[in-house]
Parts: sequence; structure tokens; C-alpha cells
Amino acid sequence: MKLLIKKEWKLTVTPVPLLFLLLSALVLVPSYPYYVTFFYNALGIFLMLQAARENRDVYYMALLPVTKRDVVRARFSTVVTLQLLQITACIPFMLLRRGYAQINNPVGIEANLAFLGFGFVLMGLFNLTFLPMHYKNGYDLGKPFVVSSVVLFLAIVLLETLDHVVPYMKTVCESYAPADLVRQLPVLLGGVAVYALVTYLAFRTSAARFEQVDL
Amino acid sequence: MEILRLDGLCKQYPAFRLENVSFSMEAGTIMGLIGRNGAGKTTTLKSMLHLVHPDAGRITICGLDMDTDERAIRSRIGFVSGGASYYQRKRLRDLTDVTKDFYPGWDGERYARLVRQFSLDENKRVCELSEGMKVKYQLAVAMSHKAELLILDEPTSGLDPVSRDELLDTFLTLCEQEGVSILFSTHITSDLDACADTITYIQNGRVAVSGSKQALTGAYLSVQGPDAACGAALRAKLIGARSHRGELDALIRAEDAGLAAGLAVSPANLEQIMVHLEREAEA
Repeated sequence: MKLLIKKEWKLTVTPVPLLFLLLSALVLVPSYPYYVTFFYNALGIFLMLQAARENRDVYYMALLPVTKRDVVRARFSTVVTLQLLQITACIPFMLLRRGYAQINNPVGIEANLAFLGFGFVLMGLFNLTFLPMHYKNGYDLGKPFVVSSVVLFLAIVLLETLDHVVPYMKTVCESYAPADLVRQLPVLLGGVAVYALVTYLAFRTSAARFEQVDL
Repeated sequence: MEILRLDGLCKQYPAFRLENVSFSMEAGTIMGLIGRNGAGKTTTLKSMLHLVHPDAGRITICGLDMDTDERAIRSRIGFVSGGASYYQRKRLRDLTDVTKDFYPGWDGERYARLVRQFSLDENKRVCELSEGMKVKYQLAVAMSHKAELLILDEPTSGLDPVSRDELLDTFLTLCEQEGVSILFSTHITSDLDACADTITYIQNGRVAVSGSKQALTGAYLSVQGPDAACGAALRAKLIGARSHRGELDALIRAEDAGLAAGLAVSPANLEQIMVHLEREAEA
């Protein structure tokens, strides 16, 4: 497994998803729908897998002394690492924002712990839709990306709407006061739990599907 | 010692069926897997490697069962495919650096020797290599992890005659000096005239013949000459006969040679055998 991860980072990971990590800086924009950051993360992963497909990566790995399940596991480890890096990259920009932002983000959720929690949920939804669809044949990327983008877009609209109508979200999740940050912790932890669960389900489905694929 | 055995390999596609494919090969030999385009050669190789899932059949490689010892088998074989290459923009050095770690038995000195022997420049990107050099690079990698069985899928297709000759020479050297076994799929049968010990001929998803090359070529004769000189008794025995401008071109079984008086009879090569048997099957 360690060898496959090394292979992923030396051969498969392109600069695009790494450059997109810098788009975590979007939280510095005073008024912006910050959830879009996670769409860029999804876009980076999509473009990386497109490059892998053009490089016949699946055939390269299929001929190595590894199992198909290991191949899928390594790919998931890459995706999860890129997503955790995206979250991590948000933190310094969120702290920087606190230095000058006088008002909460007027167009959507504030960049705080709840934002990160819901970000985990969004990335989990992407993993659950995009990767199992891709591993139906290990080749298709366009249709899975369109479907997962629609799911992400609808989820973002729903979350931003709830942010304006649900009292807990309107007050607690829109704040960055220290006391409210503590009250946002359940959202963050819940988001991590949802992310872990759906990503695991996505892995199991993807591995089972890829096992059946004739290359 | 048997290095490879296929027993009753079956694979059903909507428009094609691999049916009960069985053959075996001895260690240290070169087997040619021949058949026209679409006959099932690549499907057979992919099924052997579990790149596609056979519906039935048993695959034994290096004495191990592919169903239970897939990972161990993969570390003891090398797959080389003409025209197929991975990560075209990567330098050979970088690709090898990743690939070698997957093989515990990797022999770095041997790899360096093969790189020199094949005149490979490790600083070149894969896309900068000619087709022949790409095959040689794949061979160098396969040989450096001490593959006991090399599976070659159309390795010479798209190569010029000189490059093909060089590669065939390399295959023979590997077989003679290193004791490597080679399963060589091709539709360019003249390559096998030069180097194969045994032949497996696949026709419409079935094994038509599997045995020594000598036995196969010795079983048939090529008959050519004026159509008018062909008597009724011989005509009934012709295989895949073709007649143009009064000139007959056909195959006969060696035991029917006595019927071919007045016609030019010569030993048949693999290409003639394959062409006439395919023509006969279509008739």
C-alpha cells in the first residue's frame, strides 16, 4: 500500500489539485459563497483523474503485483489527502480574515468551524457520487463529474438556504465569537463523522465495482 | 517443467466468445500465439492476467493458481505490449524508480546492464522513444525483476524490419541464455518462423492447433501451379484453395502430397497455413 501511495504522488498527482489548494484563500474575500472552495477541490480531483486516464494509469497499475482493491484504496487515499489539505489550507486564511473582516459574510456562511464541518459533508457527497460512478468501469469521468457537481450545487444551495432560515444556523453558525465557535463544534465533528462514513461507503462500493471491471 | 497451463478458459462477450481455450507451455521455450485480428489472442492473454474475468477455466502459472496466488504470479511474470505505454511524459528514470519498488527481487545491476545493452537513455521521456525502444524498455523492466515468463502482446507490430529482427534476436537470447519462457502473441507469423518452439493457433475463440511448430508446419504443404493440372482427387483435398488467372494456390495435408503431380509442392510456412485455414473456415 505504501508503494502505491508513493506511486500516486510521484506519477499521478498533477500540479492542478495542488494549485487549487490555494483557492482556500477565497475565504479572504469579504463577501463570497465560501462553499465554492470545495467545488474547486472536486474540480482539481476530476482534472487529476482525467490526466491519469490519458496516461493509462489503470493499466499500469493493473499489471503490478497488487490487487484491484489496493488500486482503489490508493486512489481514495490520494483523494482524501487532497481534501484534508484543502480544509487545512482554509485555516490560516480564516485566521487572517479575522484580522480585517468587520462584518460576517453577507452572501453565505461565515468562514468558521461550522463552515469546515459542512465542507466535510460536501466533500463526502462528492466522494459518494463521483468515485463509485467512475469505478463502474474505471474509465468514465465526465458523467460522474456532471452528476456529482449537480449534487454539490444542490447541497450548497440547501445549506446556504438553511443558513438563512434555521435559527441555530442563523445565529450560531454565522458567528465567529469564541463562545459560538465552541457551540459549532458539534457541526464540525458531525461533518467529519459524515465525511468518514460516506467516504468509507464510497470506497467499499468503488472497490466492489472495480473488481468486476474487465479492462 | 510446465510454466503455463490453461484449462477450459471461457469468456462470453455480447458479440464474441472465447471457448474452452486450453494449452500449456514448457519452461525455457517460446510459444507463438497466432490468429487473425479478433480471433481471441488478446482476450486470452487478458484472461490469463485476470485483466478480464474468465467465466470458467483454470490458469496455472509458475505452478501457482491464478485464482489464489494472483499477486505472487504477477511478481514472477512480465507483460510487454507493443504500442502500449504508460505515463508518456515521464522520464524512464522516474518511471523505473516507482516501478522497481513493487518487485522485491529487483536487480539494479541487471537493469543498468540491460539499459546499456538496449541503448536506452534513462533521461528520455517515454514519448521520445521509438516503438521498438518502448518495447525494449518494457523488456528491461520485466527482465530486471527476474520475470520467469514474459507475455508479449503484439510486441513487433508497427516496427520496421530491422527493429523487428533486433527484437526477435533479443527474445532468442533471453530464452537461450536466461532460461526465460516467452508467450508471444502476434499476427505477423513470419516472426515466429524464426524463433518459436511451439504454436497455439486460435480461430474464432477456439484453439484450432496447439503443439510444436515443426509438427504444425510438417503437417501441411503449399501447392501452387496451373489450375488445369489439379485433378478431382486432389481438388477434394485442397484446403483454402484460391485460383486467379488460372493459377492455383492452396494447402494440402502432407499425406496427400502424392496427389499433387504436375504442381509445385513446397513446405508451408506459418503464414500460408494460417491464411489457408482461415479461408477454409470462411468457405
